[in-house]
Order: sequence, then structure tokens, then C-alpha cells
Amino acid sequence: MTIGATLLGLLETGPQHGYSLKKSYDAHFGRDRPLDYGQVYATLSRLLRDGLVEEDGVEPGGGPSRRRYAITAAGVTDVERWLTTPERPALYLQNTLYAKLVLALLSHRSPQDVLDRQRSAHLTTMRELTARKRAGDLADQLICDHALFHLEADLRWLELAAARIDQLAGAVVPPPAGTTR
Amino acid sequence: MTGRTVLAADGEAPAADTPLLVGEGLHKSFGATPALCGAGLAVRAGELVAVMGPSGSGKSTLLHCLAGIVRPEAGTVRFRGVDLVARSDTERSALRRREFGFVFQFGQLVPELTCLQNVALPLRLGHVRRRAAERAAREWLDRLGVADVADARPGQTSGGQSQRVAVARALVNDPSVVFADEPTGALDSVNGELVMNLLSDAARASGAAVVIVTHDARVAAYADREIVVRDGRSRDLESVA
Amino acid sequence: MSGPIAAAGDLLIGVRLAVGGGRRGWARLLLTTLGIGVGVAVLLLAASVPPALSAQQARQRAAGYSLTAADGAADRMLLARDAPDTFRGTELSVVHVEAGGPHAPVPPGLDRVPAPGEIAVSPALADLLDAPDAGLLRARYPQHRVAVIGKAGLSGPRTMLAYVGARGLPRGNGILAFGRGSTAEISPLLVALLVVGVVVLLFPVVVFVVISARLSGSERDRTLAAVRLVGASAPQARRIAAGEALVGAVTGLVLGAAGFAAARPLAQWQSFAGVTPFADDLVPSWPLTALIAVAVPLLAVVATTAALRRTVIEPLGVTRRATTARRRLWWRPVAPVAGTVVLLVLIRQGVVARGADGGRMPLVAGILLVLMGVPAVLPWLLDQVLRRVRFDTPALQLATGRLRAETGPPARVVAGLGVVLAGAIGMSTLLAAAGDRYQVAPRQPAAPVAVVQVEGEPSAGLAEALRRTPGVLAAQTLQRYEAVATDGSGTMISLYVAPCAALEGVLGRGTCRDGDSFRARPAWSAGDDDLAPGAAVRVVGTDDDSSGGVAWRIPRTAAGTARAELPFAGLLATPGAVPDLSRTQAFPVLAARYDPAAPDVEDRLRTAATAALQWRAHLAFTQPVVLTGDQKPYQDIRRGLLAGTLLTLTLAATTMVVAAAEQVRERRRPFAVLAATGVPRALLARSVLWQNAVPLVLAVAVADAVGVLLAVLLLPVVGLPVRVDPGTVGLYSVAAAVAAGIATALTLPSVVRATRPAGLRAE
Repeated sequence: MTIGATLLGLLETGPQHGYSLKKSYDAHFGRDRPLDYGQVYATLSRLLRDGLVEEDGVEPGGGPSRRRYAITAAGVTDVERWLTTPERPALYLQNTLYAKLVLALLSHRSPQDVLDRQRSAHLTTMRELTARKRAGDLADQLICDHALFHLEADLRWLELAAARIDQLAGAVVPPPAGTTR
Repeated sequence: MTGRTVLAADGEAPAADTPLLVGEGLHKSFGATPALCGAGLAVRAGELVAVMGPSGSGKSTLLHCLAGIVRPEAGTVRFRGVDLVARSDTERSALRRREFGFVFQFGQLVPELTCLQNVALPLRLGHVRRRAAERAAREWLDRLGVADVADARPGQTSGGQSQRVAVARALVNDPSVVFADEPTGALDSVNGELVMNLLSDAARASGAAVVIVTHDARVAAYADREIVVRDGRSRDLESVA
Repeated sequence: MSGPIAAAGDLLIGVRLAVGGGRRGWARLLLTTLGIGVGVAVLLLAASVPPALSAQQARQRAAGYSLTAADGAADRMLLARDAPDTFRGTELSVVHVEAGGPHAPVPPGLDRVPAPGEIAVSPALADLLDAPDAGLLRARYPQHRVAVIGKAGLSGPRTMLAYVGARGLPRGNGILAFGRGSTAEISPLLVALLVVGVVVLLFPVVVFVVISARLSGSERDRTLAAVRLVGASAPQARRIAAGEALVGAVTGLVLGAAGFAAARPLAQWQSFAGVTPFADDLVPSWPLTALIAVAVPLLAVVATTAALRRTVIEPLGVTRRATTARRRLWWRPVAPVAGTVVLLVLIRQGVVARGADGGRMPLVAGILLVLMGVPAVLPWLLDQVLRRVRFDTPALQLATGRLRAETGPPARVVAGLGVVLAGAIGMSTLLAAAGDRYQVAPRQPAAPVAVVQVEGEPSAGLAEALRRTPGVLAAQTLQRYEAVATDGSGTMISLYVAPCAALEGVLGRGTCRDGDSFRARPAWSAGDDDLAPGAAVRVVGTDDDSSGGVAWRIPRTAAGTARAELPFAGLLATPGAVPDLSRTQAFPVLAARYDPAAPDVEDRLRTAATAALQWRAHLAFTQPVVLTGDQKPYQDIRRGLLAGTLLTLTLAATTMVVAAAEQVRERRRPFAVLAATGVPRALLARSVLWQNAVPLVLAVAVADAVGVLLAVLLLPVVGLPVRVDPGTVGLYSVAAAVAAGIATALTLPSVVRATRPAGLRAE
């Protein structure tokens, strides 16, 4: 659901064509893997079906590329919920987390909150793992240690991101040119 | 010990769920450098709280203010309802001796005394007789598995052993709060884990609250909850979720 | 549990800290003990000198006497005659005594008055008589030795005193009671020397006590911070530190007292201000002893706790150290300026130069205040230099950076050395100036004449005995009269009459005609002729009747008279030059001309005269050198003070070594890291050298200035002309620098040890 959430989040900043949406996504997130149009339109269709976006206007010439999409109130709520819900601590989360950070910045929400919520979730999991480790046998301990170390690595990255938030904000947020919400 | 009742009688009688130790709105600067800008922390009896944050964020200073070692320039610190900031140095020293225990990263044990004497020191400073003090000290050293270094000096022990001696010293006077500042910072993983296990077990067994300052998430994982300190401000992660 | 018991408990914790420190703790304790022990020993010595001196003076007074001429109390009088003697340069006090009756007073230290033919000697004189090469002395006093004079009659163990039993002493001149003697006064110059010397010794010792008590300051800071963290209150921490300091102070007291007791008997070997004290006399007065026993530990404790101020405020004091405040200048020159003022006042008053008693306390105070200028000014000066001067090379940067962090301790260490140096410069300038006064180059007379004046009938064979003495060239009898001026001025001159042959022998001249007369002047006389040729005089004899006598005029002396080297001033005349003196009673004297190069010739002469005549013979020799009463004490003080300065300099250097080694030890981790990252060890060693050298150079400069100031002030105070010898100043400065250089060199092994890779390991 991440791509959908990301696109939804991008739409929150203002209505866009599918074409410009893809360009925007690529610019922020698609460095290695640019999104292909098929995926964009498929995701947009789903979002439309779910009532999270609506069509805002149609350009002459028809076709999906010529449709403008805007986020609905339900969509805004969804984005809000997504941003404020921490991810389940797992490996290779950083793409999602990074997306959340950028979107928070773009939508003038507090990125610190995103980070802190994630920290709390991570630490809770680590707490459980630590408790399990103390009660378990050697095999349990080794497995838990492995997970703990990785979670710790995640948290360290989170800390780093938090320290670099200002730089990130400067790179991400466009200069004030009147983005209405 | 009579000390506790005296202090409690001074303020309002604490209710069951009132935090044991509360710091609010603390400000402290060292020269031109601000260390705390309105940080705070509440600790309930028997819980373990982790204070995390990047270096230079002021977490150690927060700990020092809460423990009454350092006087903040603004803000309050209440222990059992009694404001510590207004108290004289002598009273705060007495409080540290009777109610608090300390485990720091380095340099807390007196090099000229044996480990046993180091552990007995808080009791001796409270004028407990030597025999009784050393007996209690020996029990704690036993509990922490370092009875064999009782007669050695701290300089002659390994890092893990001396930290365990420090934990013993922190707990020997049956404190209400144990303050730990990077207790495992100089230890390897195995020793660090051992020390944290012992500390958290012993603290829970004796009902002491623990405030532990650390940058290590795996150490913070021993705590019941965490607060984050950044740029002199604190944030309870519970309140964010 | 509260109050004193609790406080004692805290002290005990401190004691435990001092004693339980392992090897380093013991080393520190040992050093503190040594420093305080030396201080205590010196203080005890200083405290026991006044009682010793007064005991000695009391004995002097007890043994002293005045001769009276009470006629009616003949049987209660001890007839006496002083006959001071010299043997091989040692002065002997010899008193011939004869009991006038059964109730005559007994000299102190004896049971009874020696009978004729008996002699009682002091122990030192007994030793001298028993020496194998003292045959001449034994011949001089052949009497039977019946007693050794007890301590009550001696001023010191080295006193040379003898009571000789005599017969036929003239009546009417004796001692009615002992105990009326006067005591010798020490000249103001010597007092000044003594005071400077004592201050030079004591002051740095006080500084060392303070420094040793504060050794390992930062380690103690850390320990006490840890104790404070655990919950010791500030007063409690101070009590613990006091307990720790007390251990060293108490052991220092014990060591000092033991050292003093052990060194006491050695005092017998060293005479002090002209007299040697008995070991028994060196007992410090009780009040002063109690004061020392209290003041020294107190000083140690105060020194330690004063350094704690910053730590005690914050239990984390070690980790957060605010920048040190700028040192203030205004109060520092107060002490030396005040001292200068005091000494200037003393100069104007001239009190000390005159030897009056009132000047002593201000003198001590003035010297102390001026010397205090060194430790007062030095820290400020060091601070200023470090702030303003740019040090560029890496070694200097390391050194000055370290110095800047803590300017107190290095300044204190060299301040002790500086005080010693300033005092030594002041003292040696005084000594050099005094030496000019006391060291007159002896000039041996070429043809000296000894004169023996005999009371009563001259012994028949004395002239012959003198002539037979090896080394004597001629011995003649002369008749002595006095020529008194008739103008009523009372001026008189001695007149010696003898035939030409005799005069030729005495004067060593070949030509003499009857009617000649000669003038005799001692070599040291300035030639003041009180009676000029042609003056009218009356010649009188032993009946001393100046109203009678024979009229005469002082003749012109023979042309070409060489100055005879006689021990007296007077006229020598042939019978033809004087009027008829057959009815005037002359006083016969013997004059013996001798060869000064002959071995022991003077002592032989003394023996020849004394053995025959005992108390009736008075010898006079031509001595161009007049030893003032101060000569011997001057030598003793000089020796003592120089030895003391050397000792204190060694102490100062030792403290520097200790402080420098301490510095290196405290920085061994940074040193190890620097060495590991490629900084050459030689550079680190040089930085240690600079770290010692910079304060030292400043200390020497300040000490030179203060020392010269002190000398310039003290010389006029004691009445000597102001003269500073730059050579002395330079010599002492170089000596101090060398001592410090050696001290630094001794710390280099610890630098090597610190920079070994093993130093990188965490503790």
C-alpha cells in the first residue's frame, strides 16, 4: 500500500495530473526505480474506487493522462492516519520511513512526531525482545540479539535522520509559491 | 529509615499514583552554553525510565538536576512532593545519601578504598557502624556476583567488575531512585548485558525506581518507557504515540 | 548519632583514605611526613635556642664575679687574679684564687677552693691538657689536678676555664660572691644575620609543609568529588579531607620530634654565636612546643581544605571547571612594600645599628614581609607572562597550555625556591660586607718583642730562662716608669729605662749611645703622639704619686729611629737621657725579642714566664691583628647559615622533582596518546622541561630582585655601607637553575615510562 499512500500524500499538497504526479514521485522517491505509468494509473484507479481521490477536471483529449485528480476528505484522513501510525518494526523499512518524512515535510506536519512515534514502536518491540531473551534459552537469546541489533541500527538511522531534518527540509520543501491546502 | 518520613511530612502526602520524582521546566546553562531549556521528567515509584538523546543534548544535566547534584536556574524538582531546588547543599547531600544511588560510566569509585569499603561508604557517611555497614556491603557484592573482589581496589578490577561494584554501592542504602548515566558505556556487550540484567533485577526486587541516561537503544530496552532529550528539551515518547 | 562522634567518624574515613592508597598513597604520605617533619624539627630547634641561650647566660652570670677591694671582710673573700692565656690560638680563661678565710666563696662547679699547688679545670681544658702534643701547656700549669669544673660553672661544653690555687695574692682584691657577671652582647650585625638565616630556613619550610599537604591535589579532588556524589555534605567532605591531612601532619610531627631529639647531641659539635650549647640545654619551652604541636597540623589541614573550595561546591567539580579568574595585582605588593617601609624606618632610626634591643622585632617583621614578596608576586607574574607572550614551538605550546590550565601549583613550588634564593642573596651580601670588617689580613711582625711584666719581685732566673728559650734572640730587663704631663691633662706615657747594651738587644739596633732615647709604637697604632717632644712631665714610679716625681722634658728621639715592634707605646731611654730616678720606685719588665718563625716560640715564652711566676707574670705580644670578640661567632654563623641554605635548597629541589613527577603522572594518558600518534618523545620531554623552566626563570628573576632589595635595605640597617656584588647574585641564580635542571632531569624517566604504549590502556 505504500505507493498508494505516497501518491495520496503527494496529492494532498494539491491536485495534479497523473503525469505530473509520476514526475513528482520520481523526483522525490524514484531515483533507482522510476514509477511506470501503468502502475501510476492502476494505483490512481484504486484510490478513486476507494473514494480517497476524485477527479477534478478533464482536459480535452481524454485518456488517463489528461485527468486531474484531487484528494478527498477521506483521502486526507487516510494520509493523516498513515503518517501518524508507526510501521511495524521490520527490516528494510527505511524507504517507507523516508517517504513519510518527506511527505510530512511537504505537508508542513512535524517530522519529529513521525520519528518519535517510530522510535516508540521500535523500543516497545525491543523491550519485548529483551524480555523474551532473558527468559529464553541460548537459541532464543541469539535470535533475539540478532533482531535487537538490527532494530538498534534502525533507530540509529532514525536519530541521524532527526539530526538532519533541517537539511532535509531545505532540500524537499519547495520555496513558498502559494501551495494551497 | 526515619529520613524518608521526615521528607514526606514536609510536602503534601503523596497519593498512590503521584510520581515519586518530578522535574518540570528545568533551565540550566554552563557559562554561555545552554544545556537545558525547559526539560522535565516524571518518575513513578519502581519504574525504569530511559533518557535518550544525542550527545550534547543535555540528558546528563537533566539527570544531575533531578538528583539534586546541580541546581537549575529555573524550574522545580520535587521528590515526594518536596521541592529540592530550594534546599541547602547539606540537605541535598543528605538526600543523596539516603534516598538515591548512582552508577556512572567512569570514576565514581574511590581508588584508595577497597571495593568493600567503597560499597559501604554511603552507609558510613550516614554514621552507620562499620561492622554493620560492611556486612550489608558484602551481601550486595554477593548478590551481584563480585564477592571475590571485595578486598581488592577498584584499579585492580576489570571494567565489568567495577561497574557491578558501583551498582552494589548504588543499592546498598536501599534507595528510592537509582540514577545511572551511561552505565555500560565503557563495557563490551556481554558485560554490559550482565550489568543491565543485574541492575534492573535488583532495582525491581528492592522497589527502587531507575532513571537511566543512555544513547544505546538496547540499554533503553530494559526500561518501561523512554523520554528523548533534544537541544535541552525533553519529550516523553508515551505522550507522542 | 551526631556532633563530635559523627565528626570523628568523618575524620576516620579521611584517615582510612590517607593510609589505604596503596603504593602511591604511601609515597605521598611519606613525602608529606618528610616535609612536615623537617619543618617541625627546625621549628623545635628554633624554639629551644632561647632557653639554651638563657641557661647559658644564667651560668655565665653565676660564674661571673666582680673584684672588690673590701678590706674588712678578708676572711669572707676569695682573693683572685685573672690571668687569661692563649695556647696555640685557643683562648683560655685562667683565674688564680686563694681563699682569704674559711668563709670564702667557692667558685661554682667546684666543691672547694683549690689550695696552692692545685688546679681545677673544665672538661674541655682537661682534654686539651691531656693531648699528647700539649707538653708546653702542661709545663705551664704543673699544678696537681684536683677537680673538674662541673656544668654549673661552665657556659658551654667547650669552655676553657681553670681555677689555679695560688699563694701570696695581694690582699684587698677579691671576690665576695659569685653571680655578678655580665653577659656578652651579640653585635647587631650578627643578630641581623641570624634573623635572615632563620627566616630563610623556616619560611620555605612552611611553604613546603603547605605544598606537601597539597600534593596530588587533583587526585584528591576526584576522590572527594566521588565521595560528595555519594552523599557527603560539604562540611563532611571537608572533615574527610582534614582527616587525610592530619595523618601526614601527625606522622610529620612524630618524625620531626624524633629528628630533633636525634640531632640534639650533634649540637655539641657546632658552636653557635660563640658559645656551644649543652645538649641538655636545648629543650624547647613548653608553650612553644605546644604551639608547634598544634600549629603544624592546623597549617597542614588548612592548606588542604583551602584548596577544596571549588570541588566542594560541585560534586562534579572535576568535569566542569570554569576558567580561572584573572589574578588580581593590587594586594600582592603590599607585603614587600610594608617590609621595605619597616626597614627604611629602622635605617632612619639607627636602632639596630646601635645594638639596642627594641629593633629586633621590627627587623624580623621587616625581613619576613619583604621575603613574602616572592610568593605573593610570582603567581601573578606567571599569569601575565602566559597571557601576553606568544609561545610558538610545539613543545612550548604544550608546556604553556598545561601551565595556563593551572597556574597555582607550579608557582607555589618555585616560590619556595625563590624565597630561599632571595634570602640567600640577602644573607651572603651581608656576610660579604661583614667579612670585610672581620677579616683583617694578619701581618706578621718581622722582629717582634714580647714583654713580661712581673708583679712583686722578679724571679731571679727569669731573664736567663727567657734567653734560653729556643727562638728568643735577646732578653733584657728594663725599668718602667710613667711620665705624666704636668699641664693637668692627665696624659701619660710609659718610660722604659735601660743601659744601651740592653736597649740594643731589645731593639735589635747596633748603634746606641748613652743619652739616646727612642719611641716605641705598636705596629697597629696610628701614631698619635699624645706627648710631643719638649712637653713637661713628671716621672713617677710604682708608688703612683703624680704629685711627686721627678721633673723632665720629653726629649727628641734619636734620629732615624725605626719603629720598634713593641707591644706597647712608650719611650725607651738610656740612663743618660733621664734625670736621676734613684729614689723613684721602678717597675721591672723583661723584654724578649724573638724570631716569629721559630716553632711555638710564643707558647714557649708563655710557658717560660708562667711556669715560673704563675699569676704574677703578664705577657704582651705584638699582635697586628686584633680579633674582636665577634670573630669566632661570625665564622660559626657563616658556616651554620650556609649549611642551612644548602639544605633548604636541596629540599626545594626535591619538592620540584616531586611536583614535576606528579605532573607527568597526571598526564600520562595524554602523553601516551601523543607518543602513539607520532609525537617524538624528545618533544614531550622538552615540554616537561619548559613546564618547569618557565616558572623557574620567573622565580629566579623575582628572587634576584627581592634578594637585592633585601640586601640593599639590610646593610644600612646594621650600619654597613651599601654594596651589592653581582657575582654573588649570578652564582646563586645559576645554582638554583642547575638544581632545577637536575630536578627536571630526574623526572625524565617518568616521562619515558608514561609514553610507553602500555600507557594507552584504560585503567
